Amino acid sequence: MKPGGKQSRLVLTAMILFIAVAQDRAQQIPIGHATAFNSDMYFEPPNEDKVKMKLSGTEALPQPGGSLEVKNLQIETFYTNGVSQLQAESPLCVYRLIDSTVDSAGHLEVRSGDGRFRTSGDGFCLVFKPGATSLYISNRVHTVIEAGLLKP
Amino acid sequence: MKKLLFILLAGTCGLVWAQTNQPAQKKPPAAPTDINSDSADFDLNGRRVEYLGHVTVKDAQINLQCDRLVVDLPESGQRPSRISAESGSRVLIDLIQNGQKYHITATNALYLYSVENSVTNDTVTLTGSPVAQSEENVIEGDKIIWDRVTGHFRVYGHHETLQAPQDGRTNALPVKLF
Repeated sequence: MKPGGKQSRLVLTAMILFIAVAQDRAQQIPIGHATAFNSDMYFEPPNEDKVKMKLSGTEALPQPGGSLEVKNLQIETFYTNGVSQLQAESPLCVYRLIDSTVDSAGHLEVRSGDGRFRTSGDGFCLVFKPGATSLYISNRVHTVIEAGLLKP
Repeated sequence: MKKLLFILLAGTCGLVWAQTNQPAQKKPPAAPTDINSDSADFDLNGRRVEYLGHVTVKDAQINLQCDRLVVDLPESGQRPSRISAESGSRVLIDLIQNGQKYHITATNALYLYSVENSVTNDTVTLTGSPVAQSEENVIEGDKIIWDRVTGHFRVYGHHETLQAPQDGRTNALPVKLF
């Protein structure tokens, strides 16, 4: 064995580890077109094992700044007991991973898990930071409450 | 004797069965409410939604127009406990109660619903020079409370009846003055 062979093997191992870590990160922020885009988010402790939100899309295209342009986005939020809270659909939007937001100038359809409430509008921004989940719809908002807002 | 007891027991069970299988009185389904606005902000953690700009609320009983409507979102299956409507000009409310039509204007309208000690509080408080008008008279006051349980309008502070009923018919505003 040549002098310094042990050091070379250490460098090689470090390089393999670096590539492995880089590949792992690439799974979180896809490079190139990604079909069947899926992302699950979980509640804060003590419900960290329960899904809070599911995001999915038919296609995700990386954009400058670490965001994704997502086609046919579907979002579903859940209560801690696993029951569906809200479901939302948008034909085209931008998922900004760093800001934990999804926004679009396009159309949005939202309905509650029990089907008693639905709303739609054009142009929206969904923020899903821990403790601050909000949805802003900027234009032509139409809401239908099936059971009535004020029951007789 | 045993046979008699069996017949009596069977008869009693049949009565109970018959009672529990009475067809339930079906309530008519509540009519849906449509809300339109320029924009809306849903706070999913705070369980509150704010509608802004050219807000209209329409259902079988009420037509409401305002600039800002804030609804505290209830738990699933429950009714809202608080709704506020505000306007830079006037909140306009057209409502039908017991077959009578009323037109109400105010700067602010606050709906509150609660059940405490089996007593239901279901009110709309109108402030900001509120005016309530029926087909026959007009009531003004500093504050008007529409009690949705009793169907009465309670008028507080300085009040004025602008137009007296023209006859003894019962479709004048059911008003209590304080």
